[in-house]
Amino acid sequence: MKRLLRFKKTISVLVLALAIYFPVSSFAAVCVFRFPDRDVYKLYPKATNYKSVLKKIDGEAKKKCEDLLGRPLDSDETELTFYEIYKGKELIGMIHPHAERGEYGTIEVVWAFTLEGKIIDFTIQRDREKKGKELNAQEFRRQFGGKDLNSPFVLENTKEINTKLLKPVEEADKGSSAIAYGAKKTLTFYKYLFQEVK
Amino acid sequence: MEKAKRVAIILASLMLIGPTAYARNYQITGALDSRFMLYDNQGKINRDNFLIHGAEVNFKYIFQGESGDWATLVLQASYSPDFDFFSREFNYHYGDKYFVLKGPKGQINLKFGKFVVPFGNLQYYVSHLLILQPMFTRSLGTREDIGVEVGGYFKDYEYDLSFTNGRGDGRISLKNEGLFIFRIGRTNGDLRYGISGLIGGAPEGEYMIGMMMREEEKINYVHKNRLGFDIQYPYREFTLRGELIVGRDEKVNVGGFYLGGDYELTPKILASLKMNYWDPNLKAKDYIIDAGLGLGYRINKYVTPRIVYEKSWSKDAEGMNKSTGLFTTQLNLNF
Repeated sequence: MKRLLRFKKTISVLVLALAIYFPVSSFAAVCVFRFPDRDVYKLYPKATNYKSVLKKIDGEAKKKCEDLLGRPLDSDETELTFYEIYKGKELIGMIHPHAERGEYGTIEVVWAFTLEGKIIDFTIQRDREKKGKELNAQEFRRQFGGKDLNSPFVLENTKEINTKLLKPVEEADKGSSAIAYGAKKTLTFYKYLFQEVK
Repeated sequence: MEKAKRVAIILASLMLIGPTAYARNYQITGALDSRFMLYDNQGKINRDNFLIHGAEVNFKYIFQGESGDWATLVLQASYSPDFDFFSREFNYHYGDKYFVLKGPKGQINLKFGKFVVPFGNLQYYVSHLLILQPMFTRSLGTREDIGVEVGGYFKDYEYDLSFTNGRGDGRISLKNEGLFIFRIGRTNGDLRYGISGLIGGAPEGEYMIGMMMREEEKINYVHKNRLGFDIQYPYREFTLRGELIVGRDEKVNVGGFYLGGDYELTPKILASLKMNYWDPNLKAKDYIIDAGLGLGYRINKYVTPRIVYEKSWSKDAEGMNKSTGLFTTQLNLNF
């Protein structure tokens, strides 16, 4: 019985330590690229391969990202994976999977953009939205094409879609906003983890 | 060394490794799964009710050339003070060690080592994190095995062919006849479904109810045939999963189905439900039914406690009925 109590005590102390050590997150945004071997070639039909690049967000990059976004990063956004897209040995573009909270859970979006940070397209790899099909349809997607960080995807310091720039999917304001904010966040990460580091 | 000390050392290492690891083409993650399990009418609670299901450190290294990734190495160091390293229970969930050689455009990839076999939804279950287990322990008797696999994508279609040793306990035996498995799947929007087949020698399915029990097990191997249909569909707050399997063990026809799913009550609370029915001999009166209901609360990315109640009913060939209930609380830590 003493051993049992000691064991329980150790576990309790460890759990308490972890709960204090790691902050309570809001909604995790770190997203796994579920099917790179499938989706890379859908977004870049001319690609021949991709290179996975893991980037850590250090204190300096975090501050810059938060300043530009006007909002704090999620607590688990500490390390992100980007994918450099190759045609032979030529680097032709980038991919970054990113998740934001929609109306019915997380919307996982895979963003394709140029080396200059202009959006090419996106695909939703997972969502549970009522209007999931419409959010992933070309009519909504093509509004993002060619846009970069100079485009005000969302209203300042909010996650709310800027309807002057982008027409949200009908009856899916929250989902549309999540994608618009995801676009801004993805390009912000790219700016401070790639473009300004070179 | 005492159980508590061993676990404390592993946890402390993970706390240091996880958050500080900087990676460019490699990644280190870890997890610890601890449980309290109480059987119906068990009586006095003792030390065996507390279980360290497993502690793991996962290392992933991506080999890269001028034109991109060309291979991936995955190594999982795992440990449980409550399971034998070569037990079937432990090897259902832990011990991935494999190397993937990438082919052109993701169409032909070669994998070898110890990996999750590509039958049904198996590749998509992160099984060691689930306290409500799907049906593979009943229907296949294996989940991870040592061998080779070829797989890839053609647009929305995916395929996998594997040939493994069939022991399913983390070891290789040349006496085993081998296990051949295939799966052809399709993703259509959020809907994913596939057909799988299995032929060869594999561990006999568990007939007796007895989950997560420490045991000196002697595994019986039988020649199996299986044909399965699997499906997964996320719809609003629901994620629905299903499997339908028919087959033959030596001279006996077998079959069953699994229905399970998750319901997101709030962004942090997830309810899970499962039901499987397995008939180890379609001509006899025997059957096994497992049903369970659970709740998980995601405190943050690193800590998730869960509670589950599971009930199993079985009838053997002689008509003897048996039922078992199991209440489990789980604390899952991820790094």
